[in-house]
Amino acid sequence: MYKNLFGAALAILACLAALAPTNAYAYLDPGTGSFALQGLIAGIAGALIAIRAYWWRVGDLFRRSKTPSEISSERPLPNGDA
Amino acid sequence: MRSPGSFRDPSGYVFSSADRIFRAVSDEAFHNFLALKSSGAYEDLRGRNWIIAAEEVDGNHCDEPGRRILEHPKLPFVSYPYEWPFSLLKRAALLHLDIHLRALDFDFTLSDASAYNVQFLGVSPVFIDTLSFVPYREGDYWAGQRQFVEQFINPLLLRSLVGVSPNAWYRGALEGLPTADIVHLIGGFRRWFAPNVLTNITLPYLLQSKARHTPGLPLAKPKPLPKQALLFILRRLYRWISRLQPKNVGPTDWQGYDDHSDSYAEDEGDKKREFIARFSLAVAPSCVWDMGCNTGNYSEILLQNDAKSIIGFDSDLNALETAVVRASSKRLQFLPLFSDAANPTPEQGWAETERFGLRSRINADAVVALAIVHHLAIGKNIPLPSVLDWLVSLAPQGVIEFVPKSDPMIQRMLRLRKDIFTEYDKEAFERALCRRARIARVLELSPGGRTLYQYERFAA
Repeated sequence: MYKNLFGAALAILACLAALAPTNAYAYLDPGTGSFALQGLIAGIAGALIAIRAYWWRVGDLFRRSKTPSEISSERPLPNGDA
Repeated sequence: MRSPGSFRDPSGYVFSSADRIFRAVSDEAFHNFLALKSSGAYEDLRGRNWIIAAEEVDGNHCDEPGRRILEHPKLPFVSYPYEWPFSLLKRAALLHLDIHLRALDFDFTLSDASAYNVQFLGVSPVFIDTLSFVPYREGDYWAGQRQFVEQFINPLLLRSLVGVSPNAWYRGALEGLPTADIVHLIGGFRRWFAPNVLTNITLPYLLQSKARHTPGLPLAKPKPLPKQALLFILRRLYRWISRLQPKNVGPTDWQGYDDHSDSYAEDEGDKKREFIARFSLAVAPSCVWDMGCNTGNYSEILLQNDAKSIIGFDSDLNALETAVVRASSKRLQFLPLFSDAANPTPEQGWAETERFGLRSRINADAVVALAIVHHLAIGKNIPLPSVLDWLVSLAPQGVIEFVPKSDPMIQRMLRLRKDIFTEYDKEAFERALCRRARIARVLELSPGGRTLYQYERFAA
């Protein structure tokens, strides 16, 4: 039980670390406008990812037979150019 | 000697010693470099000729202890973004994006987006700042986005959307064209409804203004930018820039110069080409500066006759576009640059030493100045001896063309103005040239007409 909790906590921490805003400030001033714009894009991209995850969860109800690898290869990329 | 323009990034700086180029780097930057190599990114980018070579050497070359040293091959000539015609700036921008996208495949990103980090070998761009590569972490923002827009996109847009050449403004501003200025030159409809303009120019400008007018406003905690979103931004920029073209402003004076029937009869043109070819074969120069290169017609003849490389200068940006196409399609070692001979690039930037002037970058062993003297002496009122002193100072030997006052071109130049040029004639030209050089060969293209002089400069 404790082991499971510990594992879950570790996983949550790892997720937080990955999602936490980066502090890799460069020597270069990115400029408030550029930074805010990328924040905006990050927000939109985050929302798209959330919607997609939700969509696939709904979709999963009807596509039980598919394997996860098939699903991941079919996922539409948020990148329209790719 | 430390390169005066290499001070912004604390991770390292460039210096030269005994005609070799080194880069002193911090421990962290050196580890980044090793990681770049071990990831395979360095080999990949070198294999595509996108980045300059960098090899670790021992630290004896550097006075500062504790610095690791990298050596780069020496570039034959350093040019600046304000000297590049439109298509060269565009090539540099696309190379920057190509490199960034490829580096991201290896989980590296670029820490900045300075146009000065791109140089040209012929008309092929190469990225020279090894220290710009830093490890990418998922969620990182693109720190160089604003710099990229101001140093690459805004100048391209000025020419492409407004039809105005950015070079003079770029030279004055040095760090690119500020978005806050460019946004006012773009029409209201395009500002709001062209998606690329909206996202790269209008929105950053508005967000920046908002932040400036509410200085106490704390920045929202930045959300991580997913890698796919960063790739999306870079790829969109790439597609946008690839489609940009100079706004059609019609042919300028010199674009049609190749079939310039009023300046040269057919046999005169042949004689001139032959004279240039013979000069080139005799001298076999490693680098020629072609002052007033136009579309590169004579640069090409020089290269066909044992000249190894040419740097061409002209103030006609449309002619330079044609020159870039010529150099590119015929794979010539020819770099056509924007420069007004009456106002050459000065030393400028921080402490007036950051960016070199034209004179400090002289690398030519020969100069050709064809049909340019009268534009300076009569078009710009520069005294004839002064024009010749300057041209002769550029290289130890060369060819200069004299155009007499009876020439239709000069007659056209004098049509609306008083002829105040009593000192402008062949004798005065020869006198002025002989003060600095020995005349080795003379060819009068037609009796009393244009005349070519091959000369050798006196030792100082």
